[in-house]
Amino acid sequence: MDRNKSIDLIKSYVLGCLNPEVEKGLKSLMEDTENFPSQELGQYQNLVAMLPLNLSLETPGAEVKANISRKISELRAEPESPKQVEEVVISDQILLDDDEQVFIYESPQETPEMFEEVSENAEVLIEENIAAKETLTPLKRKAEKIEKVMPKTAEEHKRGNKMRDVLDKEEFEKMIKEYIDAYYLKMFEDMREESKKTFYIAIAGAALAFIAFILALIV
Amino acid sequence: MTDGEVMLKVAGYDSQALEELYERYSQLLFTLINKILDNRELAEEVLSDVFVIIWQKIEKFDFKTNNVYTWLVLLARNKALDVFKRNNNPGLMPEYNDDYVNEFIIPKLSGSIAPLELEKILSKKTGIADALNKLTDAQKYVIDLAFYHGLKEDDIAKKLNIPAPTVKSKIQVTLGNLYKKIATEIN
Repeated sequence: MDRNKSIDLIKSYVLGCLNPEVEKGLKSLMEDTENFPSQELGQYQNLVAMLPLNLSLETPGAEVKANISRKISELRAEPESPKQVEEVVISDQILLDDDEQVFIYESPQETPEMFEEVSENAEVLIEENIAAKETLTPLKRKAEKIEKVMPKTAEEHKRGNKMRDVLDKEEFEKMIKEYIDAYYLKMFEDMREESKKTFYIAIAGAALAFIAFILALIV
Repeated sequence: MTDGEVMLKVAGYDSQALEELYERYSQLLFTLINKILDNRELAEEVLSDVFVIIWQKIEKFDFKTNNVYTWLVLLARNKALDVFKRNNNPGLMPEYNDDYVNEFIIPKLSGSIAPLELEKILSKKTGIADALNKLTDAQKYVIDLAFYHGLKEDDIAKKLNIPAPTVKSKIQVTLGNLYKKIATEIN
């Protein structure tokens, strides 16, 4: 293609107004043509980038910066990110009740090195980290409160309670059995003792009556 | 620190460098995005998306040519126009995914482009604005329809009810003249 023709196309291309078929052809030229006027392309790209300088500058709201920070943090929080695996630290505590605390995990600032070691079993390692930190949590916290920030721990906690419930029930039944056994055996024993006493009294009474009868006959 | 040095730090996932880049460019990019979208709230959202793209796609920046200014301006323009088209033609646009961003949002600058930095450009702003203001209303309108509204040559021809070759000719003459004037102003 003629050099001047190429430059004419470049002017429309940098403005973004080339029709799609023509644009496709120009892109092929850029890649395939050795003497494509790439310097002119650069000059016109710089030129159109100066067009906004004619506008009155406006300032975006202060919340935009926080929004960017949030979005980047969300990117960092993706499960694929290795930094979660590398370092999970306790950074903050939320006070619930007097004797209940929940720990929140916060990932540290990511560094490029962290991207170099991507573990395939990230999920497992994350769970292990959380389980390891679990030992630091107070025993008396309520599962439903913990669940809001640490679902896995809450689940384990609930399962623990359930196990404890089962043990308590068995213990309770055992205690009841022992109590019943002890109470009724004692009662039966008491009843037996009482019966024996009555029996001996009756025997003694009968013996006294017999002796009295004999004495009466003698007299 | 130059814009190029800031970009290099961003490439090292330095979030403070990204903040520095935001401090330098947010006004210009926001003004451009808001001009395209004419919706301040949406423009702020798109501005934040642009900086996330910079963070994610920093490896696409050519550190050899090191033209931060043009790369950022064209990136912001591409993103804003894409949002504008998606809002106005829902269902007609291709799926927005990583490949799409690489192909249509990330600018492909010439390998021979001269470096530009915001500080240098701002120091020449008055001269550049004068050159732009010397365009005729018709020239300004055509440039406006193409650059800020994303219209193709055929669309501009239909909108202005003029033949497509006339539009092409107007664009070529306008940009040619503008280049000469601005080159004079800058140098």
